[in-house]
Amino acid sequence: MSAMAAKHLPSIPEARETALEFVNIGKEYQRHTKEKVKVVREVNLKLERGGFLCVLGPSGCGKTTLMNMVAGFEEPSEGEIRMNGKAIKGPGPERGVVFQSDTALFPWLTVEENIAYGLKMKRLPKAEMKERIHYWMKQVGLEQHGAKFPGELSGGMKQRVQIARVLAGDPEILLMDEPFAALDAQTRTYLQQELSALCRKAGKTVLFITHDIQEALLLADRVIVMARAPEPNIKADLPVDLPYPRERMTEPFANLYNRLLDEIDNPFKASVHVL
Amino acid sequence: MKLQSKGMQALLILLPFAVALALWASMSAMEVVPSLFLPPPAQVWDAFVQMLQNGLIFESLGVSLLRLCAGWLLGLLLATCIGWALGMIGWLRRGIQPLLFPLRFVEPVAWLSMIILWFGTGEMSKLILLTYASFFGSFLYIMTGVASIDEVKIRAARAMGASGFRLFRTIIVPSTVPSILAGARIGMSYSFLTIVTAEMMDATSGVGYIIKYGSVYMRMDQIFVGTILVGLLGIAIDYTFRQAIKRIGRRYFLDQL
Amino acid sequence: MTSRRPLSWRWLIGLLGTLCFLLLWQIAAWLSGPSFLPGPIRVLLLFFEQIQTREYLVTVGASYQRVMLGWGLGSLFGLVLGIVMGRYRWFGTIIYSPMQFFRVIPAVALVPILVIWLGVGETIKILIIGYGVALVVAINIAEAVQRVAPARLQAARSMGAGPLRIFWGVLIPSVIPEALKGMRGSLAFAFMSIVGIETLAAQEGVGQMIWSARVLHQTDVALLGVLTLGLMGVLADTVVRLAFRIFGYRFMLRG
Repeated sequence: MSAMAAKHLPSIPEARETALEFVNIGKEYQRHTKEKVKVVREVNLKLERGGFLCVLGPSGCGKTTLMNMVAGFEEPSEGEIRMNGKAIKGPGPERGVVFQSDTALFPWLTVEENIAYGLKMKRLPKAEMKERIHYWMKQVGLEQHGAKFPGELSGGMKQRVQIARVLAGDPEILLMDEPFAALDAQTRTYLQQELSALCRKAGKTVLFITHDIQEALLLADRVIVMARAPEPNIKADLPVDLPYPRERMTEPFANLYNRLLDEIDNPFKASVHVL
Repeated sequence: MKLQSKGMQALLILLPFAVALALWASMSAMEVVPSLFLPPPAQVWDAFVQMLQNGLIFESLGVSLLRLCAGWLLGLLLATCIGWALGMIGWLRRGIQPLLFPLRFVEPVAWLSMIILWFGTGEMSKLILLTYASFFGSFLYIMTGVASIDEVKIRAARAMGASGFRLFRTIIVPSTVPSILAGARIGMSYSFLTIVTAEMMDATSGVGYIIKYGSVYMRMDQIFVGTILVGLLGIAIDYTFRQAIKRIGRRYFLDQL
Repeated sequence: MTSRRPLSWRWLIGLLGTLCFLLLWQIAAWLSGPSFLPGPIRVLLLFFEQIQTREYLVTVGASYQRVMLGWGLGSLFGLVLGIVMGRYRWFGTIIYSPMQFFRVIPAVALVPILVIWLGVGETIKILIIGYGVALVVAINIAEAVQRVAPARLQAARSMGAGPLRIFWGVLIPSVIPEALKGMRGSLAFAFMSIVGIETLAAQEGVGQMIWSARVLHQTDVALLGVLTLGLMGVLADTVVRLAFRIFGYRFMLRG
């Protein structure tokens, strides 16, 4: 098994190398004819290769926009996002995306065919494709369900298919937009543990969007907090120096939790402030 | 509203027909109304057998079905191609939408008058009319289906390296299969309504013509044969569609169940 | 494939599309000659000329009355039938499948029989239009009644409402959005047999106007008729939409 993994996955490169760089990123939308809404401003950020970064923030703080820009679905209005030193232009298979909504799976394809989709786009040889599909289905515990359609799976299983589909394509960077937000608490906890183990094993660079402080602390080695408009930029940036697998009920975890809770905009606090 | 057994379901569908037939038979047997207005079932049956023997039934069914299928297929093909194109090109779609809206209220058969003036009364006019009817029924449905494809699916595919024609073939086409099938069914029902009406208005053959012929010569038994034939044909077409969709089924409709 | 363009931009592009179409139509008319394809200007002039005549207004009025009466009565009947079907499951189960079947049979085919039985009066026209509308509305409403969230009914019951109150105060308001949507949708459906009916069994009406234009080779009159039908539909739809918005605002909030 580990030999197989080594074949598909690049070895973990030396740390401290920059994989992704945000240079002065700003993004605004034009809502009506005149009104412009700034959703992201002055974001400067460097991601280390092999690091797991969580972007934490309340809804409407522009964290999904940030991810969409990295994925290449949207273009920044200002600044530049660089991957390995080169500016990002449009989506590409070196950046795998796991979406919050399980509608991202193709319902007319079976689980196996869904995982094969990205590999077909890469025009991999049949044998290697088959091998990779089997490997990743096993990794996410779906080896029994390859012939099923997404419509026949539970929510948690669908998100596993999404994760397997993306990891099978062997991207350099993994982008995840609240992938577990729609799941029930037990399934979420279980998948968080699995994802954490998988990512450390695979040594991928991960950008993970969430609004759940606990989730961020369970997964990430670094958490940034984004603030809501009118100042939508990075408000806090702190490393999470806890050993994996992490426990929720420990004192250091609780301390970090409280710190992050203070950093995050409280909408009620904000409204009091406005009044 | 699902019924448990298939037998029960068939029984329930047949029941109103059986009741109607019984009512009809008893009413004409008691001579509540003169047979000129309500011919007894036996007389209608005789007319049916006679028309079956002189080949009128098969000829009419054949002619109507041929017109129907040709026009329906052509219209569906057009609707699918244009629907794909307009569904994906937002500005063009918005440009023509205000033009399409009033057309929703214009029965396809309303164009028959003009089509006849332009192309005469031959088969060509009927083909054009039915192509339009099928297009009319299915186009809006297919276009809306294409326009409302889940953006997340397209993004997921693009993030895995799909673009251009491959994106179209692997995402857009399968995503729109359900709306094409549904559009095909609506298109067929409009085509059917249109062919029956058109044949009653202006034709010398077809199922609708049997009804028209009967009403010109006040042959109530023939009108009955024609009307029942139209009903049965409609039911047969609908049944075929249901079965076809069930067969193609699982892969495309699972997420809608 | 959604875009975040401002609303006025959509209006503009729609207007532009319409103008482009009118221009193309006019060019085609010039190329083919007015007796083959009358251009938009000619049809528009004819429209303004005709709208001042009593004859045209009577024609439009006759068709309008049939469609709207058929639609109104048909929806009303369909509404009641649908609610009963949804409320009393056994009744719905019995009647549902046959109704689905009858929906595919074009009602126009019944015109000759009904003419012989009931004569060429207004009754049969309204009956035929209403029949189709009623079937569609009833099936929609029956499904809507069954979809009403059980939690809402339970909430009403736990607050002490009796069956009658739950029916009038909770169940009926819950299906009003679907009912309004269904009624508006079936308006276009009500227009779907008017031409057939009027050519087969009427002395006046827009359908008759279009059909007799063929005999006299009046392409412009036929085109005016088609245009009239479209305008009638848009006008009716606008009025219905406004009425629903004014009287049904609180029910329409759940998009």
